[in-house]
Amino acid sequence: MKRFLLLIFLFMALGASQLRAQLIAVKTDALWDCAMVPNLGIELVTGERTSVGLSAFGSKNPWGKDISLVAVMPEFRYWFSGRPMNKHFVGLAALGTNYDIVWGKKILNGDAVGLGLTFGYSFFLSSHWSLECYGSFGAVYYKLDRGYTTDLYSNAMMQTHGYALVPFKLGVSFSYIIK
Amino acid sequence: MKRRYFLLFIMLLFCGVEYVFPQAKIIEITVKMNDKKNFTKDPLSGAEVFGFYDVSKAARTAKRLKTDVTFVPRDGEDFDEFQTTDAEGVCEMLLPPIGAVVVRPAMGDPVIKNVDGKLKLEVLIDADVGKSLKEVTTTAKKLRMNKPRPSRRFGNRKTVGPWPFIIFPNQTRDDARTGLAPIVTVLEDGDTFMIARPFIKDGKNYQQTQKRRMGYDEKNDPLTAYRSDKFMQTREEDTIMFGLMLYPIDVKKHYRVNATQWFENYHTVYSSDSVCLDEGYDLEPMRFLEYDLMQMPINMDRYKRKGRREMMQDKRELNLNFMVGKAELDPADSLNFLQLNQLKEDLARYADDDEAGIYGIEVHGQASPDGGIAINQRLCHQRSEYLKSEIAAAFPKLRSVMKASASVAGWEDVARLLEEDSLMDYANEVKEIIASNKNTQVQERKIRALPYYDMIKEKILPRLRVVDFSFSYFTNRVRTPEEVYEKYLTDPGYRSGKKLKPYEFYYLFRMIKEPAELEVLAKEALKSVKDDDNRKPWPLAAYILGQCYLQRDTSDAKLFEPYLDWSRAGMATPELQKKGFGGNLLGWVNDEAIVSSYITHLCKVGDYYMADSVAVNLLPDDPRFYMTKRFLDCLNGMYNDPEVRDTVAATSMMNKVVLYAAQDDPDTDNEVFHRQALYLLQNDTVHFNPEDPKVLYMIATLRFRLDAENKTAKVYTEDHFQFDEFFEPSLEDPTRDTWGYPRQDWGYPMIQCCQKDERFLKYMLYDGEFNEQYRTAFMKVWKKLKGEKDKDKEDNLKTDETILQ
Repeated sequence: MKRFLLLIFLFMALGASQLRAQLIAVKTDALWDCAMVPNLGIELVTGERTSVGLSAFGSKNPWGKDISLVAVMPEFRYWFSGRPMNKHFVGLAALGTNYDIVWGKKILNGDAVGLGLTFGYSFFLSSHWSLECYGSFGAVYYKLDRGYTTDLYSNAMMQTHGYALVPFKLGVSFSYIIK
Repeated sequence: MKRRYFLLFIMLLFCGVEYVFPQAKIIEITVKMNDKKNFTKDPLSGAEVFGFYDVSKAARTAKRLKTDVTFVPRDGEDFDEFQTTDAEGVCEMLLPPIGAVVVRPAMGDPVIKNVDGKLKLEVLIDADVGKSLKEVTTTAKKLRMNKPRPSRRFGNRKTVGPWPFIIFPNQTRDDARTGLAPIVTVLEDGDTFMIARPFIKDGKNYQQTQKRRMGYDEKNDPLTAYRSDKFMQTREEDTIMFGLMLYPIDVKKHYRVNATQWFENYHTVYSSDSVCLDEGYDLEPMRFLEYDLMQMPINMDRYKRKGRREMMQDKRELNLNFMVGKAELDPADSLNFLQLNQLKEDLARYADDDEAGIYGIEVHGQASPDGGIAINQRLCHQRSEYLKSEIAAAFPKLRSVMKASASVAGWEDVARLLEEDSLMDYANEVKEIIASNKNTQVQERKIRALPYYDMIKEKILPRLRVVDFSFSYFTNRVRTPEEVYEKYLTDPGYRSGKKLKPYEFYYLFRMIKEPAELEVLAKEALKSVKDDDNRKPWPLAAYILGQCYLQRDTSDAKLFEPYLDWSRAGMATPELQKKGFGGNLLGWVNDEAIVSSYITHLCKVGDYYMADSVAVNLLPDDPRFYMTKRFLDCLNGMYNDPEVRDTVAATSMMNKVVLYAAQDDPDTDNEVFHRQALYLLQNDTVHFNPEDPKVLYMIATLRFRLDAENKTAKVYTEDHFQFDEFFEPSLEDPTRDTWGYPRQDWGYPMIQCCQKDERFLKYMLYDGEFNEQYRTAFMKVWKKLKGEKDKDKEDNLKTDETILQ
């Protein structure tokens, strides 16, 4: 997970050398915020029709549940309208997450990485504000340690790994263009 | 005795109004409430009726009543007569035929009506106007189109618009941009005259998302300056305010304005069309204005040249073009020989005169610093010697008093000239090169390497290749004016002006009256006599030459430009006698006579715009120039201003009619002025000759404007251009028949006009007052008449031949 994060930051650092008068926007997904999963993203325009973004979210014991998770999601977007951060877009997103969930009697503890496709639409609100609606679906590779809270005799967890098709994200995001 | 005076007094009292207005009559005015719903017209009692002897005053008062709720009209100042209507809605007033009435209803706008020679007037007030209505919102759909409109033209200036260009609801989008790119072409030959600035309107989405583009900087977008600051919304009708001023244009040509209208989204231009904004037909409201601009006589004492026995020096700077590397003049450059000949003529004034002579001449040649000092020095010297030999060949006596010298200009001189041309950055760079390199060859090499060296080579270095020619002369005796005149009559050299000295020119300008002779002398004086600063030509010569041109019905406004100082624009007294640092006189600037002559010349070529600018800035605020400024206001389109209108209208009846016909103030009921103008043209035979083509043209224009009820008709019949012999005027209103219809032959006066003078045909064909249907119908009738006329001519010829046989 740490290696993955390091790769992401290296990629951003390389890109940073190309920064000139790029447009930078910060955003937050309102749906995730309502679900008590704070998240923050940053998006950078890289061309007439392209942009790259990086979102991070995490949560500890939301709604009183024994859940802790942290994730990062870099994304590359292609804007069909010809103007970045305006109207239809399609994106290629990556996901890296680490989670520790106690759900009922089950304990789920592990990492996952994945790649997915995003489809969305950005509504123009004003020169600085946009509202984005999007959904994302993709494939993840997970490593999972599974156990039970009722297992009093052993701390051993069943280890599994595999692939799954999952929805990455579904969101309504408010985006503020800084410059 | 007392009874006689009393009777006289009574007569004057009753005849007073009639004496002032000989045709004043009792006019019966009926005011009725017009209920369009119920089709009734009920008399309105107690209505306030103001009477006016003059339409202009009526319009002024009506406007004030409409716009100022606190306005209380005063007797004499704001109206001439006042009555209120009786129970029958009737009142009577003594008014002249050119008068008007204004009826003020209890609520709503005042209604104005011309008398126009009628004895009975009926004024209808809309029933709805008298009641207060609750607020009602109505939505109406109307078919609108972007049609070309005629522009207003004043001399060599044409104003297109401003008017709104419609963007229809099916075109507007908030994520698109639309624009109009106008192009102006000459109607006569199709040449492109100019590509005008674009007019852009963006959707809000389009404009604000532009800033999200990679690397976008609004400052670098050339279209930003032309963008409207309002946005278009999707499916909402919008407009682009379009306006253009074409100046200066050729007064003999007409200009059409087409435009490309395009729509573009983020990717591409998805729609593009060509629209015609102006077909080239112009409204010229001041075409027939009779204006008289103040011509100030010049104070000749200001420019006096005194003859005296004197030893004087004079200098000429010649820019001669020598062949490269040689000491010979370039034969291809005719300016060389012109300069040389002019120099010889100037020398001849003194060298060939019995009473004068030249006692010293110095020829100094200067070369530019490029190409090496030693070579340039030698070449320069050779060239001075060449010039010296040229002069010596013409005047052998002067050989002994001539000296030649030469020098090479330095690169510092190049820097100095760059500074004079305000190219400070370049000048500083050259100075740095000079300061850091003492060797002139290194200086030259580095300066040649500068990116703008080509500009220096073309524009700066030639100015350093000059020859200064100084000569010292004397005059022994001053001739008297009579002697000068005698010489003028007998000596061809004096007659042509080539031998005259400045004071002799001055004497002759006072004595010669014949314009052709004055013109010859003035041209010579302009070439040879300088102003007090020894730089500008003599202003008196320019003024006199200008007057001669005007008498020949031609003009040259550029004559006067050197004598204007625009830095004194707007001062209380722009006129000034300039002095140098040492107190020496440098001549007059903004002399009122020269400025007013300049204005006249500008108006002669139709440049009223510039003339107005000169009058406003360079003439003092003096009652002497009041009328000139008012005329110029009219000629520049400010005829709606009441002061301008009434002042100029008072100068002549023709001007009154022209001004009244031109009124187009959107806040005024202009029709009262137009009807008044038409009434005067048709009824005032004292001031207007009914056979005058100008009068007929104006009648045709006004009748088409007022009487042709259907301007959108697809076709006009020939009847409109033939005399309506079946029309029977009613007693109440001579302009209408008993059924209330006006005469239908509103095009007939134009036929009459063009028959009298065919030049007016061209005016009509390009006049924006008339539409395409009018022109088509007119030409049909005109060609028929021409065909009949030619046939008649042929028949007459045949008859004559038969008789001869």
